[in-house]
Amino acid sequence: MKKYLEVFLSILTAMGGFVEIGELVFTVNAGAKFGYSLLWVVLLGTVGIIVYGEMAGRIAAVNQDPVFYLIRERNGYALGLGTLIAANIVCLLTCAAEIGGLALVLKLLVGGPYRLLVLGALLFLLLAVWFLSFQAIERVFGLLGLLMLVFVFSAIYLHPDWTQVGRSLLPNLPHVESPRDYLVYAYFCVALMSSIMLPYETYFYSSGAIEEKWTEPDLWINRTTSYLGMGFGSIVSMGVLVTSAVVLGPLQIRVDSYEQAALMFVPAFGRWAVTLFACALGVGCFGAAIEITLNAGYVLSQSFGWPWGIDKARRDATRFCTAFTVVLLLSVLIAVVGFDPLQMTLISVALTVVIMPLVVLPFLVLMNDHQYVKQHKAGPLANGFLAALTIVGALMALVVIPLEIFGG
Amino acid sequence: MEEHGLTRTIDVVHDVLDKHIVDRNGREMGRVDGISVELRGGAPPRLAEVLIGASVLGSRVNAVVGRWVQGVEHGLGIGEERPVRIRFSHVDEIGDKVKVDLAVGETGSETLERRLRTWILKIPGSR
Repeated sequence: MKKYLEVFLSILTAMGGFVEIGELVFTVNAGAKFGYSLLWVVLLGTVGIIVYGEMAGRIAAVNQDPVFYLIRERNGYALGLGTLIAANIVCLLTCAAEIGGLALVLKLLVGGPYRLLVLGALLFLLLAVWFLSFQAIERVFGLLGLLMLVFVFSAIYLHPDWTQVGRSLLPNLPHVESPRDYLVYAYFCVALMSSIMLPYETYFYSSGAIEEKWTEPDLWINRTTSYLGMGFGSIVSMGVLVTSAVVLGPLQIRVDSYEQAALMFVPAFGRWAVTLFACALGVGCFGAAIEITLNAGYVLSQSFGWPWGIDKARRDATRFCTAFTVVLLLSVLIAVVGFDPLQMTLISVALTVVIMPLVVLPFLVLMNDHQYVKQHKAGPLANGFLAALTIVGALMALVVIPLEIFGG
Repeated sequence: MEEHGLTRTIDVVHDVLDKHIVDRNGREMGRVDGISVELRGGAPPRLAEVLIGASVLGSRVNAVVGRWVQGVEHGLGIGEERPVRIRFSHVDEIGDKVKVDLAVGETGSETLERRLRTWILKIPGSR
């Protein structure tokens, strides 16, 4: 019984962890600008992250090796270091964006100067990572993650055109006013995909599998958590997109602040709109910030061979603790210096998609190494799908992102 | 390396370099960041030590990076003990990980860990 409760909480955590600031920014804007049209990208990205996450969990459960253990060993030190540096830069920027988001949430809820609120957010985060065990973190965020269902509720309440919603789950091109909008559409495809398939989620997920001591008989937990948790997460994201498409789409506005984004809750929740939106965003940012912080500790420790684990006594994993604390403090510094959280999100999402093949392709090679994973090898469908998705994503990003940035 | 009476050939770069290294109790000591070879006049060269240390890794990237990392290690006050050198005669097993017959405490690989411990234990609630 206890085991089932834990699985249930893992599913909720995976669902809550699915929605974070970058994902929310792009999904809200995607709905506001292109209606339901980009739903297929959410679906495609979800299948991608489920396949990738499930494989990472499988390796961790079968061989007790988290993803980053293997990158340097199998790719050599140069590529290993490159990936480590890129992953940490992405971690820093994403974490700074989440902390900035958290401060803005506090501002919406209680008011006060931004910088002071960033420090408030830091205090919350430090207390959580220092004093909670892995299981406690999972329980707290699993239960808070239920709050994300407000997006699904809101989408259903608005009675969207379900036929149109269904059609948009297949690749399609929207009707646009100028040819330039096709470039914007391509940019959104790449960015939305990247914000869903964040590699940190899989590093965290596979490290978490080891923290939770999964072994081969627990593979069903891995499958259930990744399929259902990320699947439900995707439904939440679709709820965000549909709500935004119905409410913000007709207003023809470009959402560049959270106050504006919160407007999409007004039809469903009236005067509670801003509070509920802020709480949901806050839960997303807080969960993601904790995952990213710990993740920085995980990837550094695994790359350099230090003892690691949030459940280890702090005295037995001091480099791990120092690493995640330093990364958290640096992220706060970036957030305090005053980069706009939205800008940081855009940069981190762009960087993420470009480094994806570096992380995913060597991982796939390993997933096909019979000696290593034995009968748990990846199937041809999963292999082809994941390889194609990351390569096409990165190539598209290399073309589309510079065009979008330099084209204003 | 002898194993069950059979001789097994090890590819030093593929099977040893960059692998995790654990002590006799299975505790992580780091990664094999470098390997040193002894040149003996007349006799064939011999594998001498496995090296652990960020500066060794840095110098594999580039000599300047190596020196820079060494500077950081000196700044942290652990420069004297880096890189950690473990004689090949202490290597017990080469598999998924490299296992040595020493304990972490007998090498300098935990100096930074120990130094940080004194700080971390001052933080309320640390255990």
